Amino acid sequence: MTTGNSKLFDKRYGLLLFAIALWVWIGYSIASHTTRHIIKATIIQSSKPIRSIDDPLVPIKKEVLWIDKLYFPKGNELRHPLYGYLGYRHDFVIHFDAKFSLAKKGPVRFIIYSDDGFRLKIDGKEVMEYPKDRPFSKSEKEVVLSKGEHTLHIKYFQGFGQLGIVGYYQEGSKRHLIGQDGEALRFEEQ
Amino acid sequence: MNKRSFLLLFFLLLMGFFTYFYNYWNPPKQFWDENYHIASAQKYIDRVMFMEPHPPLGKMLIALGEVLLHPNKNIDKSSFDRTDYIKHFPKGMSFAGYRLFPALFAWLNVALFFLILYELTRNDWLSFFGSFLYLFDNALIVHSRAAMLESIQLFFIFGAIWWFVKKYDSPKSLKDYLILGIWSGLAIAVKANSAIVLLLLFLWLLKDIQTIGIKLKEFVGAGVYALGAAAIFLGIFYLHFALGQKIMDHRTYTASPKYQQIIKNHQTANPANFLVMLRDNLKYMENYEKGVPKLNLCKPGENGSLFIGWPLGIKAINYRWEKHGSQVQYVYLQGNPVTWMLGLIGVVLSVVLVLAVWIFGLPIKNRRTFEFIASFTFVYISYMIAVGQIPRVMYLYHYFIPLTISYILAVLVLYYLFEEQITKGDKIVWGSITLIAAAIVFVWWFYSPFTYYKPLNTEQFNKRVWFDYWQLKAIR
Repeated sequence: MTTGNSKLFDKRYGLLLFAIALWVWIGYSIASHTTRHIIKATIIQSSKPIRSIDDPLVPIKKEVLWIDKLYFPKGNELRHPLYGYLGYRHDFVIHFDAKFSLAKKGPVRFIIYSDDGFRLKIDGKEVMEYPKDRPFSKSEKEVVLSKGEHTLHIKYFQGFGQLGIVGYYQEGSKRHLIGQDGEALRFEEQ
Repeated sequence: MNKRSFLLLFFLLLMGFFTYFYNYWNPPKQFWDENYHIASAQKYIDRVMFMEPHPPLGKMLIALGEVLLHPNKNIDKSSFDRTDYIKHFPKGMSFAGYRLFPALFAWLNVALFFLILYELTRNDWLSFFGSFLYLFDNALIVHSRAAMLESIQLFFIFGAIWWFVKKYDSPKSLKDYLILGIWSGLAIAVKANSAIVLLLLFLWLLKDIQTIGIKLKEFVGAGVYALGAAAIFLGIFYLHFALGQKIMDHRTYTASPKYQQIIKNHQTANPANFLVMLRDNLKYMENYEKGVPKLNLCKPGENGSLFIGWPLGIKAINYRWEKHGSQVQYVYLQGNPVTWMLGLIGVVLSVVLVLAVWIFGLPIKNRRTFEFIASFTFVYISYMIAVGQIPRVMYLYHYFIPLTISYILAVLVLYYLFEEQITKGDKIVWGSITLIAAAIVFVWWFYSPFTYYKPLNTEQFNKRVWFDYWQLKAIR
């Protein structure tokens, strides 16, 4: 069986290849849209205005989402690539919790862009914070971490206006989104 | 058809029972246009005059289902007669009657679709697997299991296509033209966009002119076709008028004083008054269409979509949802991505083939199959061009007619490419076809929560959002 005059390709195998590619596409589509339980995001909507990180909340809605990376881009409404627009615009707090392990002791630089403020804790110890409201801006801090398992906690708040939080870590010269594995730093599925 | 073909058809119907018909009365809650269509259907039952943008046959059949099963005989539905849009359905109302014929026709469509493919390819196994495209399309299923018009419309369109294909290359008697006219008339009497089936007559005439030249018989045949279609269409309207025997709460629609007088005199069944009532109804339909809003993609929550996006599944519509804790049940108009993709590939390859033959002079392998590919490509493109001219908002289910045509094209292109191997039972080709059919079934199952109101949490929902442009949105 040949295609045209080329005598090079048996078109039956083209059909077989298509059928196999169809299954690969299905598998890839499902796998790539399956949420990995890397970061637990607990979102709490407050009926009372929030203007700094420790302001008391009057919770009216609580929601837990699992995300694979700390990436809520700047905008007027909270949005994540896995979930699209989430409906949160003002006066809410998100607690992000994740676990990671380091293959060797060394410095890790954490870089957080946020609007408004946040507080980052590693193994329960505060590493850095920006407790008040601000436009989408960068904070960064380097910490030396021992080999082994660690916990990461970020509390983020949004008051009014624009919002967003994107977190990175840097090991050596390479920057990765928090939630995505680097060379020595690996996030654990929970 | 031999015994094996009948067995395959029986097996398809058995599967169709479970995909299209089983449990069709659930959810026992209205969704999408049921609020309109059930209000209209009840008026036929109660003999109340009304006017509507769609021709009457679909709603008459919806009413007939309720009359036959009468599951709501102890429920007061008189409020349906005083509105065109039911806001609140009575507690405990069953939808088994109103949804009976849409679900039943959708189920029977499986058989008609198989027969179309069988007439086209004369290969029962290929027709069997090809029917999976209809049998396991989540969008067609979800929309058909409701008191809506499209499955009834498709039944008559499939009937017309089946007859068109069956008689395509044989000498046609006037009876054949009449039968095609009747199928066409029935389809148009459900929804006006079924008028695309008129092209089938044109294609028949073209074929006959090619074969036997221009003959008087073709003109007479066309006349008989028109007569059959018109008789059915107008006959259905006659029935519509005859059933509208009273005006409820001064709801006269745009009935002229003369029409109102006809009703007062109980003369709606008098054929002498037919033209007055027809004129008023057609005028109402025209004005109604003018009043339908245009597509506004900037409007939050817009369900409408542009026709050019339909082949890609743009955009899905959340017909109904119900939240229970973190789980949400959905009735979502979302197609089976595999069948829709195969349909689109079928269209693209058909266009390529037709252009290659007509422009580059590619030799034709199988004249009969090629003519069908060219014919259905012509119907597909004509529908899309026509629908692109309509200014009112349109929805994804307006793509159902070309979608099913694209399914036919997918099977035809496959047959055109691999006819020899299919006929000889080549293992590689049949193995590939089986793999494709299995993929269709798997993805139907994967998307079935959207189709059968099964609960999903947000993560499970997101697993199904393969493309953002479908605009599937989870309820949280």
